[in-house]
Amino acid sequence: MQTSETLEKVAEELAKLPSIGRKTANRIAMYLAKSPSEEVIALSDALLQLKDKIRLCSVCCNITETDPCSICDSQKRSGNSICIVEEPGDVFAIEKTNEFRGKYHVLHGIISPLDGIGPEDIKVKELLMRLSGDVEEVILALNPSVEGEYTITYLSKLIKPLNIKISRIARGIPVGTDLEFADEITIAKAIEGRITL
Amino acid sequence: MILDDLLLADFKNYHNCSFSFSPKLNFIYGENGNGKTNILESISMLCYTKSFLMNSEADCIKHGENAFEITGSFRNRVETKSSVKFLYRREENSKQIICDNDKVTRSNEFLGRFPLVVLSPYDLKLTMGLQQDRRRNFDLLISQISRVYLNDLRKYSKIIKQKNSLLKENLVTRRYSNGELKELVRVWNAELLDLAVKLMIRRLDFIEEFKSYITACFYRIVGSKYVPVISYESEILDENDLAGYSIDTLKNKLQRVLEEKLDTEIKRGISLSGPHKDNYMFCMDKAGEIFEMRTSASQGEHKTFVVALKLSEFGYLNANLKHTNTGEPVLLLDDVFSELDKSRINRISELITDFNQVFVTTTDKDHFGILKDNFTDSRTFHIVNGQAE
Repeated sequence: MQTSETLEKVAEELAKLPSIGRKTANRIAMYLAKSPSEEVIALSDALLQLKDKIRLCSVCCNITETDPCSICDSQKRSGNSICIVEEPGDVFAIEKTNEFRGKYHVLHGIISPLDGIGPEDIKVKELLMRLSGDVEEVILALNPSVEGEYTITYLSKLIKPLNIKISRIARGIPVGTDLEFADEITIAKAIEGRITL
Repeated sequence: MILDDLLLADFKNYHNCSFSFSPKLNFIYGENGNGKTNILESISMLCYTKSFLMNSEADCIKHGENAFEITGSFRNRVETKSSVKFLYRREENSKQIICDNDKVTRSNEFLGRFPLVVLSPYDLKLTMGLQQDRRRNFDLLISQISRVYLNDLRKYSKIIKQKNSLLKENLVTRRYSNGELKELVRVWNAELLDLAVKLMIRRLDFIEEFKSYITACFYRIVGSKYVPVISYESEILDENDLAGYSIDTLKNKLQRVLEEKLDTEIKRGISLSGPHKDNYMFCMDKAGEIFEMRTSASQGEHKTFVVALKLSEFGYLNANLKHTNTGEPVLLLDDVFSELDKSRINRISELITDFNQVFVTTTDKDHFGILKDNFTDSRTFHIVNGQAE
């Protein structure tokens, strides 16, 4: 259906992005082709700067423009507790709660032999280097998938000898839901992880 | 659960064919190769999300076409209707199940909504064949009543897949030293331990409960000549454990076995212990002497055992679904009466008398006479070349 090779190429590149299918990619490419040039230039500049300015924080491996990142650099946040997450997006999710006052560590992936990802492919070395200091507690906030669970067990095995308190986030009934609407698996997990009063 | 209507479009040898079934006996007859079993297969795909013959979806498309569609409308105990649609397109290799206009994205939430028991000549492999066939059979049965079991099973299989992939890859790439690999595998072992024991205990409980069903069913077919025995065979269970096993002893034992096998597993590049290697044993107790089915049963005994097994599965599912609105399972009998003498056919037909909806396929029209009197309602379908007459 395409009439221009350039348009086709833009659409192809866009379609590589997550959650953008071929149809949406075509529509965006068409939209950009019709937009005034300053808008397109602004977009392409922003994209270039993304690659130019964004890097990984040398402490927590989160994406940042300044190194160390604003969270690692903050005086208000305690370095005693570190929350370990899988992706930078998870940091944003936890930050939205405004509850956690410690610092983060981003693994950039989880261990999954089926995808050829081992412990040395994610930021485990960087994590261990941080743990020598005054860290008192580590919170593992990984997804409860098979691979997430494995990574949790693997990391806790590594951290345990260091005499640091380790915990994992709870799983179970979401807040604001009635028990009767939760599925069996979630309820079973919630019963498994019950808390003594 | 009752299947009222079925529509097949480009499925196997059916171009476009609709059926309206009896809530009791549906007698499907016709010559070989006309498509009787295909009807049952399509029903199993609606209930199990895959074919009981283990055919791939791509093989179910009518010759020369690119997609097929199965639509069924079900009715449960309290007369609530549900429609299920199974769509498959060859191009994208995409399989889609739509239940009451909602796409089913997680099949583990679907299995068990439309309970089904199938008895076909292929089931002889349960007593004659490999242990994985028996495991699969009972896994499917337990999964139909326990979503937690199905979920645990899926999770466990995923862990085994990951562990195997780690072991296998390292055989080729030697990415890790022996010591490093051992540490990584030990973590997988720690992950699977809880699930493995949970699955085993669920299976042992299941056998304990299932025993009474199969014993009763056997008695009604063969009398007291012999008693069926089903036992669970696992590396980490011995005689004493069966009497009173506790979660902790099983866990410790499995952990020990996994540790002992670690070197062999690394050498062979595959995981060797756990419930995915366990076996269900089928035996007959003839006046105190135990015979294993696989090695010492006659043709007739195999057939009788499988019939009793499947009818007990029906009873077991039925009893476990009693407190739900789902209602009794649907029973598919694929070519069961061939090779059986008249008295056996009579006996089996008596056994299924008070059953819910039954589908029977056969080449011999005369069997209908024997069956129909045991059902309050019946309908016959003569299948000729992908058409019902």
